[in-house]
Amino acid sequence: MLFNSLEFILFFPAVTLGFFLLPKRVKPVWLLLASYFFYMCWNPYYIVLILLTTFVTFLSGILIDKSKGQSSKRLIMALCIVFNIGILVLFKYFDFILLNLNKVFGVFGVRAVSNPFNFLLPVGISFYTFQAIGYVIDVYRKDVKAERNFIDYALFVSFFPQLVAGPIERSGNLLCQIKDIRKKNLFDYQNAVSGFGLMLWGLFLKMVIADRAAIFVDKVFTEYYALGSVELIFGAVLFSLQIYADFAGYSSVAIGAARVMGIRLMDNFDTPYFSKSIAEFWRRWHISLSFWFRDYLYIPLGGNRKGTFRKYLNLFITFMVSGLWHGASWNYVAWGAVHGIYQIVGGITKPIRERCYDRLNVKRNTFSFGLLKRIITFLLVAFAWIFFRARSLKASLIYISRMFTCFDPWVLFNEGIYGVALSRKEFNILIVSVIVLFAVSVVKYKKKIDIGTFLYEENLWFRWAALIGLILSIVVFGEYGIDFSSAKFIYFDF
Amino acid sequence: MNKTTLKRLIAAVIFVIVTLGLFIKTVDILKWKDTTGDYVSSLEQLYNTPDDLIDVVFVGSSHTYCGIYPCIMWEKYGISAFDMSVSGQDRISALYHLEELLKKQKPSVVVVDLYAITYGRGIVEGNYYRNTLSLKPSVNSYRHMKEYCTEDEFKSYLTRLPIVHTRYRELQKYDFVDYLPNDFCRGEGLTFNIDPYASLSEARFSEPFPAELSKEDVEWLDRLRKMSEEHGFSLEFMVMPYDTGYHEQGVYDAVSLYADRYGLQMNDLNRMADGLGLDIKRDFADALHLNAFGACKVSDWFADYLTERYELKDHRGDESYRQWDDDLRYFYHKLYVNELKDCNSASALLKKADRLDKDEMFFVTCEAVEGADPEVVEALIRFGIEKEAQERGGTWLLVDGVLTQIYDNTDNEWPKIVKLGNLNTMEIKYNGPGEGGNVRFNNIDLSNKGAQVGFLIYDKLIGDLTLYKTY
Repeated sequence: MLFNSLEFILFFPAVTLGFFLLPKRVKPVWLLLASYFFYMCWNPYYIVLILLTTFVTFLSGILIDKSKGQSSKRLIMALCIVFNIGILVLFKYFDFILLNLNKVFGVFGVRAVSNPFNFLLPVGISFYTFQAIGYVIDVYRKDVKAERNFIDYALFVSFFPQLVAGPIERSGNLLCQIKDIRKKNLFDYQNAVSGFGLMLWGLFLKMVIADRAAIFVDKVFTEYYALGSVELIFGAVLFSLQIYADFAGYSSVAIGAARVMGIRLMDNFDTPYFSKSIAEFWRRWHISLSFWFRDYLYIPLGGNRKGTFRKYLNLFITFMVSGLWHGASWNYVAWGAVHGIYQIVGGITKPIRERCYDRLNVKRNTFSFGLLKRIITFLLVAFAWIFFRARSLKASLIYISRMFTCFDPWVLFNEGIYGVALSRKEFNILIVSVIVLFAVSVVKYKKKIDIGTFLYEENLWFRWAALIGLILSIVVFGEYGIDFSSAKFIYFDF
Repeated sequence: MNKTTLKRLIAAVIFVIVTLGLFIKTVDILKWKDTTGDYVSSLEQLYNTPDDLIDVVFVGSSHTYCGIYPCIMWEKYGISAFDMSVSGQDRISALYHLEELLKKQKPSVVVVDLYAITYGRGIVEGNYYRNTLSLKPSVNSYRHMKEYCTEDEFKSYLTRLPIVHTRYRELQKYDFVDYLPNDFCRGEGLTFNIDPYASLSEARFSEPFPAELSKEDVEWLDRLRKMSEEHGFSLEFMVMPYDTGYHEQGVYDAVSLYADRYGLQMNDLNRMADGLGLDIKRDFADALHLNAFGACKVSDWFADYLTERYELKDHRGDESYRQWDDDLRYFYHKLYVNELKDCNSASALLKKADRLDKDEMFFVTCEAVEGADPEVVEALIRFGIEKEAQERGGTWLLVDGVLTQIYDNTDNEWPKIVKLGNLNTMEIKYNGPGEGGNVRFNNIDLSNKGAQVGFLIYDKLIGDLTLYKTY
């Protein structure tokens, strides 16, 4: 069940109404059943895997808590992690591993091994697996107590707003709030209004911006071999926009939905394209995942505590793994590696850059300096996204090569750019939407509050105008339903 | 409940009402609006018809609305006929469109065109939407969609918005304001186009050779028969003249046997084409459709046929049937304008100006040009515009038999604004000989642009410009 579907529009109010009307002791059960129903709408068999992960990590938490010795605690944790990562590897990476093994076998003339399985990748498995593993590690570190109530814990793993695409929550945040469901009356007017605003904003990002940009991006990344620099640059920039609007939009709906029910999820995107450095970008982009990798991979590897070389090595490994987490393909690994290289080069060259600024008398506390850094950071990020989006590593290299060699700026003046995939009208809608996105991002950057909270604090007329504007924009301009991809006025389609 | 909670509840309710109101208005703008093309909607015309007025219904696709003009029957015998026809109307849609009509009308005769029996859903995407989305949401339209749509697309059709929301790309004036002809037209689609290369198949001359009707064909015919029994109307079948194939003719011949078996009347107008006096070089818009000239002949024949066969009341003079009167006027307006468009000289056009209806505003714009055609000068003098006035240049308006000069090009006065209805404006000024912007109709430049004389007709009946011609 997608957030931008008729089913969810019916499902969410029904679940929320039930949540507020039911007795407190029943609320967690209600939410848990709703979450499993939500998940099973994708595929009923998925429930087996999530229940398995839930049981294993729940049990591991209790066993770790009960164990006396540190080594037994560590062993239980390790087994639990291996088990869950094993499931993830089996479903997500088995094909990839086999493909590469067969390539190696091919080099040595060994017969290829066929894939005996035909697994469908369960949606959200990467997210809830990491969330559950994070809990087990937190228990081991004594950051949280082992949860004894299975219903509460199961709800923590499968809470439907954040189940399939995050944010990847920490037990210290979400589990506590779940336990509070039985104690407090969670309806709060501010939460309801701001949550609703966030949900609408998320749908706007996804349906009006992301899905519209995707039309151009899909065309460009499919026919990159026949397009010129300008189209390819547009493609890369629009993909940066698409992936942000898509992902941040989904997170916004998730956070908004949870907030309506009185549960506060962590912010997942904090105006990442306003970052002045790659390091800052990763503190603002997919925050829940970045912090997960920082706390559960980078720091355990040694972080920056083992000298400069180890710091950069740990960084590089973390980013490579992060790339792999996103998808089972070398181009995701390449994307991760590029970001790792950015960080390393950024770190190494920082003293040199500082000295250059001093020598050249560059004023660092100025708007222009900040703007330049932001533009450069954005361009670096957009460049890296090419590896992420391209069909393969080879395709991304060809794409990049053509971007720098097939010079064709005239398409901007002879309107050829409108012939690629998006008409002038669609481009105009996209531009206006991006302006709105920019304005909202500036508000968030300056005031450090999300759009939902911002609207709640404004006057009634403004809030209503914004909410109604969002609703009508989604209804009219959202990418859904049957598409009249032909520009022909179909009334003349006689 | 405390005061704050009450205030918030009231605010929430008002918000929902305001949002719903704007949502409904938005959907109204985006909704599907045509059944025959270009905002002409027979379903809309049906919904605008008061209850219990229609005596004869013609059901079918474009063959029907191109070939049957109810206004001809109205003019001759006062028959209140209606074309319940939609472009590409298939078998399933025919049943439900007729059901829709029968909710509020009690026709005594229903004539069903058999063309739909020769195809399934068709291939034109716009026709899928025309046939389903033109019906107002109701149990009938729900059942229609259930039977018509595939499982995957049913939800989109039912909720409509997933289909129509992308119409923002093609919105025109009549998505925001009513298209006036839908108030009174009776389902016809007027076309004056002539295809001189149209032809009729030789199959129409062959001896009847009934093909085998499929199970679906028979089921459809049975359902129509059951409807006629339930609602008490006489059911007839027809085939409109068009270039049939031998297979199609075989199917029609099979239906003829079916009709005989159940005592139903069937008129194969294809086989009767010569008897109807149809001129293959003049009466067809294309291979599949009659034009206005052909439709007049067929409709005239139907008028005689129905009057002979049934006791149909003559409703002429009855105020409740004003839509049929307006429809007839509309037909004559269109016929008249078509004649004017065919005039290849200003004098020929001006000779016909005395046939203007009271609802037609006739604008004549003159500009002083070098090498003015003396014939045009003479014709304008006879029309009532003196030579000196022509040479000065200006704009004249003929309405209700009265000719008035409304703008003089030498006066350099402010532009003349003529309000045409609530939505339209004619702006007249003089920027210079042959210049653009001298005459603008709602921002459309209709200047002479070097021509000696220009003619425009604004038709108040339909609220739009119907003629723009320069000589």
